Amino acid sequence: MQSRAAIALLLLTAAACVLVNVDSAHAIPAFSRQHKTECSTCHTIYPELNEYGEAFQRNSYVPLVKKSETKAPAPAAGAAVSGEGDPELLAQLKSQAATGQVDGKTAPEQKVQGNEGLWLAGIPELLPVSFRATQNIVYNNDAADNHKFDFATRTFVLNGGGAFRDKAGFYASFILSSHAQDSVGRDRDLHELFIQWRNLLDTPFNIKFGRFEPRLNLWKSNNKITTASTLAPLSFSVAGVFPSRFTQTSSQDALEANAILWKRVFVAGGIVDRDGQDRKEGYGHISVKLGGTDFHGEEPEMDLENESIFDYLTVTFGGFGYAGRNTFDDTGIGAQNRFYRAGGDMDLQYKRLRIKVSGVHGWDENPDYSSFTPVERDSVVIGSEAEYYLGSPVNAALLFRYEYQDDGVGITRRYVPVVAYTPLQNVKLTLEYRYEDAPVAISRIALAGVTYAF
Amino acid sequence: MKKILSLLVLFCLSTTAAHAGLKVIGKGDSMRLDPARFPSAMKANYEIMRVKCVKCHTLERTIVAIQTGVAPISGQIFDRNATKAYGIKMLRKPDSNMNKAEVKATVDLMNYLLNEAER
Repeated sequence: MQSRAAIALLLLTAAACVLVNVDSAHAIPAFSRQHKTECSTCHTIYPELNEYGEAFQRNSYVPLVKKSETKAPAPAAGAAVSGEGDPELLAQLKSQAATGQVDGKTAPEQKVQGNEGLWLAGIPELLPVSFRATQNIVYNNDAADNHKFDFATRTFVLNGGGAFRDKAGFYASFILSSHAQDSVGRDRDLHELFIQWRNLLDTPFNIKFGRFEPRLNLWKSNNKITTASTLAPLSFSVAGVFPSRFTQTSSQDALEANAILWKRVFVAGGIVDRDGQDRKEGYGHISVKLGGTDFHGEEPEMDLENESIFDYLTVTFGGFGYAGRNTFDDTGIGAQNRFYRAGGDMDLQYKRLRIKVSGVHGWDENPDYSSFTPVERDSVVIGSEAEYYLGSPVNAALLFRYEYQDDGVGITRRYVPVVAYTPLQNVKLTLEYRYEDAPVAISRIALAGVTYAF
Repeated sequence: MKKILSLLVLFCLSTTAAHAGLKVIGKGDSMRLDPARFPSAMKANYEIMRVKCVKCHTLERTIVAIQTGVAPISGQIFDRNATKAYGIKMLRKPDSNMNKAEVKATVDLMNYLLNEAER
C-alpha cells in the first residue's frame, strides 16, 4: 500500500512537471557555446544523440562541413602567376568585400572566426568546459537498510571537449562527485580523457588515445534518455564471487584506430591496457548505416515531390568482439580467467520512433577465479527498447525496455518503463520504474531524477 | 530636388541594413522579411517559414545565411544545394512538425530569396 502511494506521488510529480508551460530556450554546455547552437542540434532528449550528434562524435567534434564546399578551387590550367594580376578576380573580391556576399566557388578552406591568433594556434575560442549534474530520488521498498526513500543519489561531472581546428578532437569527463563508488572505493574519477588525431597522413583513419569507452556497441553508456540504467548488454558483468568485473562500457586506457569508409561504414579496433591488468586486450567493431544521414552527417538524396517510407527510415547495424583476461593483478591469486564477448546491435529510427536492440554472448574460462576446479561459463544478454518522442508542445519521450540476462548462473528479466521530459533543452526530468525478476528475488525500484547541464 | 532627396532619405531610413534585393525588418531575434513585394506563391511560403521555422530557431539565422551566402553556425556555403539539404535535415528532425509539402515550400522560398539577394 505504501509503495503504491509512493509511486502515485512520483507519477503526480512528473505529471505536474509536464503540465508546467515553459518556453523553449537554448542550452549552454561546451559544444553549444563553441558552435553557438542549441542542444537539439545533436540531441533528441539530452544526452541521447541524434544522427548529427553521432556523426559529430565520430568526426572528433569537428563541425560537419562538406569538404567539397570549403576547398579552394584548383587554379585554372595555364593560369600562371604573372605580374599583371587578375583584374576579373580582383573586381570580384572587391565586390564581395563591399557586399559581404561570398562566392561559393572561391570560399576559403577554413573560415577564421573570432581571434585569428587563437585559430592559428589551434586553441578553441572559448574554454571548452561544462558541467552536468544528476540528482535522483530513489524509492526501493525492499532496501536492505530499510532506507526506502533515498534522496542522496547524485553525480556531478565536469565535461570538456572540442577540436584543435580540424586536425584533432579531444574529450574529457571527470566525475567530481558521485554517490556510487568505483571498484576501488573512489567517489571521483577520470572517466574519459582522450585525443583523436584525424585523417592520419590524409587517410580516412583516425588514431584515438587515452582513457575512453572502447568502441564496441553503437552507443556509449551515456547515449540514452534514461537517467539511471544502461541497456543490460552494454553494462552487464558476469556473476561471480569477485565484485570487480569487465563491462563493455567501462572506460579503459586504450589506443584505437578508426575510420569512416564509403560514408556509411565505420570500423574501429584497438588495444586496451585495462585497470588492474598486466596484459593487453583487444577489440574490433564494425557498423553499417542504411538510410538517413551518413556518418559524415551529410543528408540523403530525397525527392521532395513524392512521399516514401525510406525518406524517414534509418537503420544502423553494429557488431563487435572483445578478448581479454583476468590475471594475478585482477584476482590477487594465481588463478586466471580468459574471456571474450561478441555481440551485435541495431538502431532503427522512423520519424519519432526509435528502437534499439542489443545482444551479446560471453564466455569466461574461469569466472570464479578458482585455483582448483575452474568452471567455464557462457552468458547471453539481450536488451531491447522502444522510444517514442512526443515532441512539442510537450517535449517528452516514452520508453519501454525489456532485458533478458542469462549470466550462466540464473536468468534475470527486467521491465523498465520510463517517461522523460525536457522543460528546457538542458534540463531533463525522468521517471523510471524497474521491475526485476531475478533468481534470488523480485525487486521493484522507482526513480525520479533531474539532469541538467550548464 | 530637395523633395526627391528627402524622399530618398526617408526610403533609406525605412529599412535597416539589408541586402539590395531583400527588405529586412528588425534586428536580432525579431528580424524578419517584408513579404509585400513577394509573388503570391512566395507570400504563402513565407507564412509557412514564419510559423514553422521559428519554432526552433530565429528567422535571423535564415536571413543572414541568405544575405551572406554562408550558414552562420556551420560556416557552410548556403546555396541552392544547401537549401535542399537543410530542408531535408529539418524534415527528418523528429520534432520539426513539418511535412514534405511545407519543407518544399520553404526550400522554394529560400531559393527565390537567394535569387533576389543576388540582384
